[in-house]
Amino acid sequence: MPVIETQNLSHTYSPGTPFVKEAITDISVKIEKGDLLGIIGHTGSGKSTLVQHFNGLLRPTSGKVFLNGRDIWEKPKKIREVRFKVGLVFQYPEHQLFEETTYKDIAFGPSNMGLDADEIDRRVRLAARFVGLKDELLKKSPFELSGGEKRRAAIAGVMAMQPDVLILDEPTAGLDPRGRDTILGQISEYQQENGTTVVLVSHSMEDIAKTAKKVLVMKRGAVAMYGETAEVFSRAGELEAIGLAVPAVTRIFMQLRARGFEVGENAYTVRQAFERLLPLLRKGGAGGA
Amino acid sequence: MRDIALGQYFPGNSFLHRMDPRVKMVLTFLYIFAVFIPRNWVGLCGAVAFLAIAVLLSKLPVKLVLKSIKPVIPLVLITSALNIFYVSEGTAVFEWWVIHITTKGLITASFIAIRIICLIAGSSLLTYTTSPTTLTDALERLLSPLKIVRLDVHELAMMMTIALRFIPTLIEETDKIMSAQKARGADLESGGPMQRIRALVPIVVPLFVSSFRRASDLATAMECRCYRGGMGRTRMKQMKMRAADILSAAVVLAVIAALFALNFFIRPVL
Ligand SMILES: Nc1ncnc2c1ncn2[C@@H]1O[C@H](COP(=O)(O)OP(=O)(O)OP(=O)(O)O)[C@@H](O)[C@H]1O
Ligand SMILES: [Mg+2]
Repeated sequence: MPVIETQNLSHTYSPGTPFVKEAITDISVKIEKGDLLGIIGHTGSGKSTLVQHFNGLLRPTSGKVFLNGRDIWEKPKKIREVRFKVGLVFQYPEHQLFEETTYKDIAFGPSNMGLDADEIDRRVRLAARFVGLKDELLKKSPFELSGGEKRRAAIAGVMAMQPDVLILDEPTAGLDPRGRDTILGQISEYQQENGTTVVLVSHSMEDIAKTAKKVLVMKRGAVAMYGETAEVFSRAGELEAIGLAVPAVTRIFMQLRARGFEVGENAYTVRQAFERLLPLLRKGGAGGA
Repeated sequence: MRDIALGQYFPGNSFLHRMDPRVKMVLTFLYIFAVFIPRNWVGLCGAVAFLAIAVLLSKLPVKLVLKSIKPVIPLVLITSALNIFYVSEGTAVFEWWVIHITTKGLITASFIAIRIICLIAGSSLLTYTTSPTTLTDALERLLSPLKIVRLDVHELAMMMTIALRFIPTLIEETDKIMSAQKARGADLESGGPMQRIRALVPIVVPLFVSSFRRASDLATAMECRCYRGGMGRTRMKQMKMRAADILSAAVVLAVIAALFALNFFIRPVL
């Protein structure tokens, strides 16, 4: 049974005003337990709108959302419980920090769940460790942290609720390459260690290639492709027609193959490319062609 | 939250949209004044017809103009009711216990209702066809004679412009922060009054922080462009009065004169 399933989900913003906007149309997808799913698409393609339906922040204009096989809007009063099970980290989450100390801010989610003090403490420290925030930073005001640290504190705030599904909307936006890699690495690690289902929204093909096992490509409010990362990236032509470039290394591999090099399967990350090309270079010969 | 029609500017390129905002503003005030002139049905119908023509000229959806009236309907109903029940002159049409409704009461009530509706629809026509920043710009120009009494009109207008500019941004931001805290299980809907006030902290604090950040960014950006207040400042877009503006002004003045004249020639019903 999928953890999250949507059926013919559509959402229209500001209906009945001059500013109506149908942001997503007729989306039916299934997300399996333990998946690490990347959602990619152009700006305005409806990624954020879609993921805000997964935890019941937005209510479908039509269609349904199921969590573990149950319609989440069956009992609208119980929607808060859905939000504890499906944690959503917003775009630029550092803007939502408010407590006196970073520790208290991370504890905001768990305390809303009504856990006891010991459990809250345990979860806050665990989440802080996952995102690499040191103890002395926890005592500081969140407003004194650096940009990257703020981002990590905000992510820890959702991780500390230990949701079954963790959704991150553009967690790497506006960070430098090293900051991006750190956060993506921490997310992968978290996913592996806890077996949590993770949904990662991103603009960057490289980020998705590095982290996600499955990819959902969105185009103007609809699903354009959905499948294993390797399968989706092998359809480079279609991706480019949507205006999304495949990762640079993948393109190099395709060109190499087109010129008759025996490079094997496509590579999506620099690491894979490295591992595939090294034996080829060792064999020599290939370079002389 | 976003559905609140605050900056209700409705972009377009109609005759009204292209009018000089200063002229438009003055004429709107004149029209509001004119609505209170007629004391007979012919004049009042004229005032309504004038508004209808203006709506047509604005090319706005009529529904939009009607929507602007919706918030004042309770006010219209209450004032009409008061007039119906308290005016006791004229011939009675309905009498029962302490209630007696007279023709005069009914007429007064309808006059007042129509006047209020015209007033609101007329002024929303101004805000629908003029962007808020253009509006404050026009206000600055119109009030500039007050500089003699050492009122810094430019600064005042600048503050208004900035405030208006940031209202939609703030609403959007509030929306986002509320969603983000709800995603962390914040409960904004239940609990007693104290609890509800406390529940606002996670929303108000980030909102203040981001407003201050925005304010300081804006100040820096303004300084980078050498903004030094209104002294010696010229404009890229000059407001120019065209023949059409002068013609419109003439038409409005003629309408006002006609409304006054009608009061003399037709027996007043009020
Ligand atoms: N609160 C809102 N009110 C009205 N329209 C909205 C709102 N939020 C989003 N939209 C519109 O819905 C469409 C989809 O927006 P959404 O934020 O889901 O896109 P996105 O894929 O997340 O884009 P980005 O990559 O820029 O974050 C856009 O056209 C946007 O303008
Ligand atoms: Mg988005």
